[in-house]
Amino acid sequence: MDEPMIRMRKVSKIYKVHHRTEGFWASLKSVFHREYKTVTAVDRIDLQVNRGEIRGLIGPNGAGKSTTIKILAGVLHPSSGEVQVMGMVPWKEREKYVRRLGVVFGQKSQLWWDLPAVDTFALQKEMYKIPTSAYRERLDYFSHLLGIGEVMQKPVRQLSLGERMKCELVCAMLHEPPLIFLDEPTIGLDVVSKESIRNFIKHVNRDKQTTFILTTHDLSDLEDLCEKVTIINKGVVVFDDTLDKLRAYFSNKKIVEIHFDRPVAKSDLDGFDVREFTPLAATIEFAMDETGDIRRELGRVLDRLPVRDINVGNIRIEEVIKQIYLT
Amino acid sequence: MKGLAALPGLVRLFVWHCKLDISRNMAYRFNFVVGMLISLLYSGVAPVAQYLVFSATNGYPGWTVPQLVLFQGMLLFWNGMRTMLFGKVLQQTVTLVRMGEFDRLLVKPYPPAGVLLTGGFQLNGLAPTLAGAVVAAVAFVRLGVEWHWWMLPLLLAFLLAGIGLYAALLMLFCGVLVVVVQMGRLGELFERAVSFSDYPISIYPKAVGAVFRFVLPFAVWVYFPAQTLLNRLDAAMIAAVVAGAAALLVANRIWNVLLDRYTSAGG
Repeated sequence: MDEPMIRMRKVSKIYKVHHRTEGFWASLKSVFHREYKTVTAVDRIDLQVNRGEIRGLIGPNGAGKSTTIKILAGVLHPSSGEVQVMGMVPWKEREKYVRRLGVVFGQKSQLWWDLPAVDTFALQKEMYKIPTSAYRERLDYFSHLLGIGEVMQKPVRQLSLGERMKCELVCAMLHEPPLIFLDEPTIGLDVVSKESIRNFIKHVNRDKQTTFILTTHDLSDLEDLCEKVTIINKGVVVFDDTLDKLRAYFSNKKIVEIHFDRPVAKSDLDGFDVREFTPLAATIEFAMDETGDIRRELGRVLDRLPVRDINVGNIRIEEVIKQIYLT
Repeated sequence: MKGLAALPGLVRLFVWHCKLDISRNMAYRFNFVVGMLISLLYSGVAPVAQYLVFSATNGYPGWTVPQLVLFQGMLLFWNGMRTMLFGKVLQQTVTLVRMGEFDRLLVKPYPPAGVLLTGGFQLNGLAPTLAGAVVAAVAFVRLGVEWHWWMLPLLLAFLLAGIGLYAALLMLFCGVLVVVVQMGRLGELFERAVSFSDYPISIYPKAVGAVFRFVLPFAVWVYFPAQTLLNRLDAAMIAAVVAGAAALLVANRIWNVLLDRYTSAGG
């Protein structure tokens, strides 16, 4: 049975922010009189994540992802709504709660820059009161999985971004939290490092039943790791379901890539929804009718154009997400 | 009470931060040696300047030159101690809040103020602390004041109350910073305010002196320890120790209120 790890009900976060107007005089005036406006960063969000899930949390910049994560991490108090994570209210039982929580901020490091990462790990051991034997065992497990046996002995400033991120992950997981927030863990990494980190997340998830909440702009992270995805836009959850459902979000639309025998003019494609065009190739989007029959549309193409090759596919997930963001 | 329960853990955390900071300093030996010398010179300037002013004028009422040397030794010692214990706190808080990294403190299993304060160790404070202790000890011996066993617990009580008071002021300052983000010259004001303790409290007007004894008992940092070593006891000493501890409790309350207003930075 699916056991809920995170439950958010009708959670909102409203900020009061200084409304700045343009210009020098407006700046001077603001010293004496300020106008404020309220900004709703998240608006009555409902979310449930089950134990052992790897949940993708995505959305455009400024959508409310970070605010959601910060509320879940106990960093911010919501303005209204209910939050229960592992049976606790994060901001009310913060210290007890964060003992069972791991957080990796992809763009912020918690490693000591001038010292080997293993020194920061030792600090974590002290901070979370990890018994020495468990600490050794976990460090062996993590360093073996990530291949950082030698890396963690070098000063952090000498490490590559990928090596550093691996050490950040270990740092966040040494106390074996059942829940981990990963905020853009693969940002700026090369393909090999990305794959290594994803494999690591999958291993830990499988071996230890750790629940991960992953925010990312890299959709390959989602495709590789997550079964379910939550999309937040303008502070509202606009999609909360499986990745397969997301892929099928525009299932009535197809993308048709066509290669021509000879160059054609763009005007030859009038009446089609052309996405990309060169004289020898074009990409067209078709909206199918309610029967889902694409033959009539394809017939129009084959009749009117000198088709050499044709490929019919679903709308790419990037495109689906872009459409959702723009909605 | 919750803060007290976390104290042993915070002390352990502080020890670890000390170890890591020392390790970091050892990684850059040249910088470490130069830093020590500079901090010794820098911390020593104020006491030497005071001594010169003192010897060239009528001095401070009730203080002789050898007594003032003892006072300067204690001042050097305290300045070194506060640098060693909390030297990095102000700058670190400014950076954390401005860069939105303060969040990291809130996901640690300790009170955030505790994590902030225990991460303030700066090895540069070691040289002035040792130099101050030596100067004060030599001055004490040369003054020929009789040593009493109770001086030691009293000095220790002043040191603890002094640390508590300084931590309280830092918490207030950092709490304000958490809310307003940009501190500007508030940091200077902080430094100027605590520098009132660089002079014997007895030279201030009575009302100001009373504030530094009973309300914001800056006297626990240098003045009362020096008075203790001069065998000049004062009933206000106990009140100052209590006021130092109370300041920490009040600051903790205010800190919690200010922390509730933390809004974090953008993602």
